Amino acid sequence: MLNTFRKLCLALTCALLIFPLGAARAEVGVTDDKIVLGTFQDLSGPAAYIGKFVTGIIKVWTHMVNEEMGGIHGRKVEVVIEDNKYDPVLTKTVYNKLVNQDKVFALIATYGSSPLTAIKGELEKDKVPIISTAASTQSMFDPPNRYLFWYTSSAQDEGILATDFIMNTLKPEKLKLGILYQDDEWGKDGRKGIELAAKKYNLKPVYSPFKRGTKNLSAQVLKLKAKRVTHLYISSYATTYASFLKEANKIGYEPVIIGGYVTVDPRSFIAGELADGHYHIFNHAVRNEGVPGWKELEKRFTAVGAEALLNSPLLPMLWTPLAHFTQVLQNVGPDLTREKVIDAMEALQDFDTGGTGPIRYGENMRKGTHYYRIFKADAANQQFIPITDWHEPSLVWGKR
Amino acid sequence: MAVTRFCVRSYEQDSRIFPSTSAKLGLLLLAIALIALPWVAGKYIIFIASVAAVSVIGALGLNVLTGYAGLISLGHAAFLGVGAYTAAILSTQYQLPFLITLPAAGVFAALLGAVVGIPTLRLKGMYLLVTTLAFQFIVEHIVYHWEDVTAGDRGINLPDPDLFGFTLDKYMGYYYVVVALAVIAAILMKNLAMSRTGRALVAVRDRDIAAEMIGVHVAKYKIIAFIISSFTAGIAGALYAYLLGLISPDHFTLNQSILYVAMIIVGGMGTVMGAIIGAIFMVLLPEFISAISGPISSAYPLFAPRIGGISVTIYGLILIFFLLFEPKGLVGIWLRIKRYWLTWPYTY
Amino acid sequence: MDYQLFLQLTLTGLAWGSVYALVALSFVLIFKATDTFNFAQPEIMMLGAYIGFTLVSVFHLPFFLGFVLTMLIMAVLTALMEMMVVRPLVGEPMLSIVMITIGLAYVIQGFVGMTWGYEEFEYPSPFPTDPILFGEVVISQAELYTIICTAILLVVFFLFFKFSSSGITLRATAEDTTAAFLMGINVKRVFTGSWVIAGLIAAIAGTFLASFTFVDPKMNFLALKALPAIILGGMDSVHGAIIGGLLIGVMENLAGFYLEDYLGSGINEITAYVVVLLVMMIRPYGLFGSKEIERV
Repeated sequence: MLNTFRKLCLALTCALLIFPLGAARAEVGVTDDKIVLGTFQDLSGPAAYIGKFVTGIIKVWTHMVNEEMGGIHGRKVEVVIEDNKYDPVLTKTVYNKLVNQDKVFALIATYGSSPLTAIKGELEKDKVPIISTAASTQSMFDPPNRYLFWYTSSAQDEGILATDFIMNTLKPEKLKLGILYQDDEWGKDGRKGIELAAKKYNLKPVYSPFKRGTKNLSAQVLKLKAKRVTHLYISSYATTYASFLKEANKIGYEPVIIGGYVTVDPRSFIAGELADGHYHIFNHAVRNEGVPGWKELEKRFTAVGAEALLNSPLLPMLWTPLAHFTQVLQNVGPDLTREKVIDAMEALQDFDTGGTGPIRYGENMRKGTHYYRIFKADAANQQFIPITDWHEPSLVWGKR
Repeated sequence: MAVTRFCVRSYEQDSRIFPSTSAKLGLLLLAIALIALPWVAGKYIIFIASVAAVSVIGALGLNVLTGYAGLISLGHAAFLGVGAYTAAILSTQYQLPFLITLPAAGVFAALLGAVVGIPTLRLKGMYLLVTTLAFQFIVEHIVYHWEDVTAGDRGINLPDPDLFGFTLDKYMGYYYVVVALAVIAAILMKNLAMSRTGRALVAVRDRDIAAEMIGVHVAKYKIIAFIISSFTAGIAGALYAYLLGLISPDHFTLNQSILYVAMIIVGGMGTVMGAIIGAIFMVLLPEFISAISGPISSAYPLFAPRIGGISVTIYGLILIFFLLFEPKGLVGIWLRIKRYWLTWPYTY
Repeated sequence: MDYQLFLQLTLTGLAWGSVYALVALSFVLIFKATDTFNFAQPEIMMLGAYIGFTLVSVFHLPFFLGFVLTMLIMAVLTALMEMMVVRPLVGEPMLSIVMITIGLAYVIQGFVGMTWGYEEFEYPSPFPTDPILFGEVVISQAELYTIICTAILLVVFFLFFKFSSSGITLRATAEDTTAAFLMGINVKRVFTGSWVIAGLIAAIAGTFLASFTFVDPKMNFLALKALPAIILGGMDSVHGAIIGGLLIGVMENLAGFYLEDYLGSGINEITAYVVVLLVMMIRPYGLFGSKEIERV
């Protein structure tokens, strides 16, 4: 009698324990036939040209997943896009809307360090994974945030790589290192990289900051010239880079220039011949190299009439994380949860990007980019030609 | 622009805060709605409601300066910024509780308001406008570059607000705090408008020389207007900082300043009700616009990247519309409707 | 070297200052005629640059023809803006007029965003790109022409206000609109006329600014610096506006070079406003403005 009662109790307890698991508590944003994802894009702010670009890429990606692959484990993806105007306040609002109102499963293809910084704290509270790109600041992955995956060129890495390249490859007889940077977190990270490398190589660099949005760079250019800077690393947008070239040409100042990853952009050639022969740091392959990954992108984007997007060398920076994420979703299997996605993100190694640039995460490693190359600009053909092999900066992050 | 109350019947009634029983009843219903909101609405709506409440406080502050005293300011966001940074710095570097940082933010902003107010005493009209604009840009610059204190571009993360040792939930407890403060601010402002100070401010606005002649110390009242306005703005800034949990220089730009002026214009300048309605309207406006622009961008994908232009255009058009056709703002519309029904079926 | 640096900074500063001066001039023209400010002036400048860009780069008109057409279009647009948006508010408090022009500014910003998107475009600059050497300092041709054009406009408008009857009409209207009206001046035409002339000057400024850099939807922000220029020069003074603009241009360049290490990297962007605050405390009517401040 007692035995039966005990057995009954045990069975009941077991049932109660198993029930919530067995009923497959549906994850937020996931239904039987749909995964709702969200993103905030700058559609009308200072980085709107990226917003336009990324919304196009997202469309191609959803087309690929939903039409060509027939969804992931039977689920189609749906992406809710909100305009954040690159404004951190608004980002907070639209993030809130995406997570609490639209109930998205994860955020994808977001960018910009100030918008991302604005919501970093919330991510941890809400436990929403975010697959982000183009926020070149150290604070994105250092210290690592479990839910924030980062993939772009790091400004600190760039500063070190530029100095490495000058010291080990160019080996100039006369050297005065300089950096022209936008005085926000991104530019200051570039400065930090230069500082770290300068300590290693025993250099005394010249720092020339300018306020974000400044158009008249003449004071900065004159300062660099007056301090006789021979080698200059520029951490800014392509249009500012082109303005700099024009202004430097005007006063007859011709340093060796190494541009950051965003200067690998057709708009650098607005400066025409002046853009020729300068060096650029980049963590992707460019289209004219003809690697299989780019060939596939060409096929895919042309098929849906989005070939205009192929003109930007930054395409892999946005596409690769999406492709990687697609693979992760497939690896997780039909029982999709946010935590499982994160574990699968960490577990996926050696993802094949077709030579467009490696991507790798790991336990407590939220930095997806590790390898870079140096390119040289060819203004006549408006192309960038790689001149080094893939390599890491001499001061590897984590051991600096 | 004057405070016009059509529906009162006697002087005694006019000097009361709530002129009639029906007004009291309406306010009671509103109070119930505000208290019930977090229990029925989702987190996003509560968040927006909190933002609206903070904006109401900020707009009430600007209303004292611009609406009552007629001093034009394009630097209101700078005072909000000062309050927000005061609260952020005190709560992170000195671990002070919400109950101390909040008034401190107001007091510090008020001090700065007095400092800005003194040199602007001689200025009127355009000169004052551009001076406040200069103040706005200089505060932006200092916040951006004084990195040891403000952390520059990175901004400061604030802890969750706490009250008597209890941490407030952003979507419940803090909402009540913000709304309660907004209500208190509204009542105080209503009182102010009916006090000697309020009437003196209005006198300064309408005819400053005449005001001086009848014994209103113009300089004193201008400074008072600056102090009250910046104190309120400082409080609003601090509340905003806690609400967002993070502040950076991008939060307090010229556009924010213009937004606050737009709030009191759209609502109805120089009235407490106007500041409240205007703030709520301008906070909700982006929600309406995104409700419109969402379908448009999915219907015309080619236009999607340029859809942002629509919100800016609508914002501008609303300003133009109110100034051209309804200078008394939303409050003016409300009063007209009320008068229409009171005198119905007669049209006068 | 130091002397040459100083000269170089001053010269480039003069060129950028000329752009501020032109925009400042357009502000002052409206102020002189209507006694209010048009805060959409920077946006009108941007619109002029965009229209010129479209005509020349997209429709492939020759630059001169494109420029003339731009001027015509801008004249019509500014006249329409004045008649439809601002005129109904004549006589209202100043804040209303200021805010309606800010509203207009937003509408133009939104229009530009919807029509041309948010990317930068290269402006089909008519000026040859090789710089010109003056002894030890260099100047690009775009910059040189900007300075020359500003100088010409300064002289033209100075004479216009001083001697021509339309100029005097404009001044009379600003001084006392009612009296001017009673004296038989067509006040409406004066108002519209001032908007059109100001719009044309702003469009010229836009052309120059775009030649220095690019056409982009944030151009308007740069033109806001015309405001401190006006305050500095005095709000109702044509030569004050131009000298104020040039001074701001030169000072911000010098500050960007010499003070940056001490005061932070954006110092050249806010120099203008610091100067304004100082001037406001000493001479609230600006360096050249008429002294009609009321003291209470």
